[in-house]
Amino acid sequence: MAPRFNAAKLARDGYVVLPGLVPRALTAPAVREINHRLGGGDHPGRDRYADAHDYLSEYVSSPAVMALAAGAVRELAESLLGAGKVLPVSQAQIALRFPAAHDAVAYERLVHIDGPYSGMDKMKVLAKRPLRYSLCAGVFLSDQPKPDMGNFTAYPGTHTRIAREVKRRGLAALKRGVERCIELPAPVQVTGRTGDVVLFHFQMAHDKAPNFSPHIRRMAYFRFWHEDSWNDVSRAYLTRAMTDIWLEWPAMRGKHGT
Amino acid sequence: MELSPEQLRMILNDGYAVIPGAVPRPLIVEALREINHRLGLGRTQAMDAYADARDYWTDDVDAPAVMDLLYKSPLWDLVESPVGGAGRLQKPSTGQIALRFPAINNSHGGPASHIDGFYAPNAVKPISRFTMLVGVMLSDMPDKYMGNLAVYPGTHRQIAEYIKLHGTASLRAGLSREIDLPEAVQITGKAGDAVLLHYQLAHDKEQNLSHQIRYMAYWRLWHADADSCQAEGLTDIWREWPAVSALSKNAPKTKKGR
Repeated sequence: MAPRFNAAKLARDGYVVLPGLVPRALTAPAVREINHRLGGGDHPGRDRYADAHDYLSEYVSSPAVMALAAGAVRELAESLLGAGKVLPVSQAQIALRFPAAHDAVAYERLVHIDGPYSGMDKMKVLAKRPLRYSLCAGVFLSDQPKPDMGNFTAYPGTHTRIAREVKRRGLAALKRGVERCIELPAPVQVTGRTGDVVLFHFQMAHDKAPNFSPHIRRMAYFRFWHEDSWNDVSRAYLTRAMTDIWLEWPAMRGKHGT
Repeated sequence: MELSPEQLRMILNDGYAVIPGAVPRPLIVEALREINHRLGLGRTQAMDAYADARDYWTDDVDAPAVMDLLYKSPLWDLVESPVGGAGRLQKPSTGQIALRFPAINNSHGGPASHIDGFYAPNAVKPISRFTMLVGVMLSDMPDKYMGNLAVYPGTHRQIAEYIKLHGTASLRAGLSREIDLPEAVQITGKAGDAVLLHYQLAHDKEQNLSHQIRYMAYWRLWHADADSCQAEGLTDIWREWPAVSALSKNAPKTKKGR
């Protein structure tokens, strides 16, 4: 049975948190794997956004990590995008956020949607194709009960605001980045415990918060593609999917005022 | 503050004592933050010769957040108490942070029982004898095989007796060849607990089969007189420990070796 969640909130805000979706029996081996990799100090899958200060992001496909997305998370994606319509996920983004040296560290805001429509030139291509997936599931692998623990930061409702701007001005609306495309709402630092999942629409603007805690923030992000989004990379389809935001989400179409 | 009679007796007989809650949580938090921040910087720090690329990371640091564990907690008074009180220990300017990362295939390099500063297969390098090793747990280790410090109770006396009869040369290629080691005790505890070891107590670090990183901070402490009686202290093991020496003279004879 697919996990239950607040669909109205997902429709309105573009994200929703599902507490305790991934059991400890799955999170513990994944955390072990990630901590082991830290010990090795070797991160062959490190992506271009990882910096040498406080953020380590790498793509991994080890069984312990991929198991996080095999059960309830997969069922959730299928329940939203349609059974048999979701492409297999072959890798996870492991995103670690290390503590700041002190509370006065100034963080650069980097509000974005993933992929080439973020305004960040370096975010051009992933796997030789535009990064425009359907939904992302972020699995908490460390407790983040309060803000400023490196939390995933959501800008609620920006999925619809961006859709309106793309409808009005075309894809060029995003050319200079999200912040110049729309007026941003107040950010929400998403809190949660190990095993919680934050599910968000591709088009919801987001960022990562500073980490002023003593602990390493650990998240695993799984990006799910509806088969149509993978197969049709034309500008026409892209424009359609970015303006009709539940195009690939049959479970959400025509509901909750969307 | 000073060690209890029970703790002194444990040092006398077993060579070590655990001091629960020696360091308050606010100091632990700041030290963890410093260490986790350094982890984010990557392995560019000066690491000592025993750090390897697999599961162990050790680094000598003078960061205030680490040194405060020793000097801004009751710990300094506690460690001075068995060696003659205030001013009898040389004050270190650095501490060793020692992280033990989770093993992933349960592999273990095998036992490596040792006394710090002793190992030298060709016996050319002089022994660097200090007085006591103090460790502070920075992560909870409620169970065995979480990367715990492992001690061999009573070996401080056993080794002193051996040296009296045979000298040090044959011990320097490895203790286990010459000494019949007792069963190791893996020290368990919570973040903030401290452990105090007589210099000459054989010890090791256990493998970490948990999913969390094991965090410890260590200091090697020299008695004010230790530099001038390096060799004598190997056999007269309580000459720098008046509080334990007094106990030793008053107590019924303990069995030799274990």
